[in-house]
Amino acid sequence: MADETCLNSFDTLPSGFDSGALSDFQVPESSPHPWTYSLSSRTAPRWLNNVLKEIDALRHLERNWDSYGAPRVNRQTLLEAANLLGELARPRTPAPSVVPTSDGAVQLEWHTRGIDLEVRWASPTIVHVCLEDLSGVLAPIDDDLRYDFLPLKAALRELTSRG
Amino acid sequence: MTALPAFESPPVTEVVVSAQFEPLPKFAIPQMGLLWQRFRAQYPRTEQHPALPSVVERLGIRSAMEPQFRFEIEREPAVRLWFLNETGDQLVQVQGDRFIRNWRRVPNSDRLYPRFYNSILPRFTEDYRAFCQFLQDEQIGQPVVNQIEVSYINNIVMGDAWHAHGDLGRMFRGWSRDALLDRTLESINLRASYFLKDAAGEFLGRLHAVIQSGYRTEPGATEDEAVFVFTLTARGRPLGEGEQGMFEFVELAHREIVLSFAKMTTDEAHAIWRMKPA
Repeated sequence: MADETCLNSFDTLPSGFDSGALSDFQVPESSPHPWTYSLSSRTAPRWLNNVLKEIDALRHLERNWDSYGAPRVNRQTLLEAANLLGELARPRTPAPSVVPTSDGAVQLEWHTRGIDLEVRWASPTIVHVCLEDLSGVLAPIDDDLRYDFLPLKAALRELTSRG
Repeated sequence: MTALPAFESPPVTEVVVSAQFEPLPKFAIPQMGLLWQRFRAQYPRTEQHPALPSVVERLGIRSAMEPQFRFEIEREPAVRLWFLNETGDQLVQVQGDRFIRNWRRVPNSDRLYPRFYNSILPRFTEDYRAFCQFLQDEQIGQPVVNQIEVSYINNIVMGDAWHAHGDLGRMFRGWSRDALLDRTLESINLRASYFLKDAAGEFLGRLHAVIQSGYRTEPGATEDEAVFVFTLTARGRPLGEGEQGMFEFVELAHREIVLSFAKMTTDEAHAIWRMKPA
């Protein structure tokens, strides 16, 4: 990006983010594979690669994939779902089900260990969370989360701890 | 409220103000072309670039600057369009979920940093409102802003005060020259992220500070010039509803950046940049 955005040419280490500044140095690498993900952390669960592939596969759903006029799944929401899993899943976290919804969203679901947890991306920035805990340890949630993901983090932590 | 420090000759080379909003599906490439007609007189040049991914600062999720995984999506038709003025120092960027306004220092130009309240904020305001008016006129919808971002990019050029990147401590506080004994520092890339909170102590977003060593090649120069690229980015949610909530964050972000810039740099650096008395 240094070539296309800078009047001066720079040679620095990539900044790691792209804010729209003309001085950004991170260059998105073209890849023969649409998704490139590497497990740099030792705390990732063993199922993560397989689930990421399931998320990846949703890119290929065409319009009307459900025969009822469903739109294509928003690709930014797929990225958000994948990043969330990468951030919050731990080795003992059970694998979620990955479900496309009829309105073009993606949903991650856990129905195990006495917890029903559904996380649906209504948009790239708004996540709807439904939580029921049969043991009563966690308070129910049925709410949109935008900036504060602590309730979701707590739910996944509790789910993980019951493994 | 503490008075903001000011510098007569700050090393700033670019300032970015960005408003990210919920995607507007009707704001696509044809509509961007129509928008340019409204900006064309002031910004006669255009460029086309890939759209930027949306970024949201969230509590409970690691800083947006530190993703644990790196995902690369195949390129889509999503486009970011640039509108540039003739001299190339003023820029508007638009895409389906973002409006960005840049000022940058042009090489071999005597144009100074135009100052945030004198120029950068008024021009962002004017162009953003023109953008909103266009959306309304074309019945595309109004932006529901979910993140605002202000970035200051500074080029701290090698000079009398420092002669190699190992002299980091001459420009930045908290770094000892003795940190690496008998070693020549070749390169450095430091990142720090801090919470931003509102008056009630609620999470607003983050301030990101990045210090990178690098080299700059000025047009016509025979040698590369060592620089530190010091970037401060404040990103977060609006402080309230509507346009006012957005602008309140912009002003908060500017304040946090200026204060942090002064705190993170040394008195020696301040003298070079001619810090004004409070």
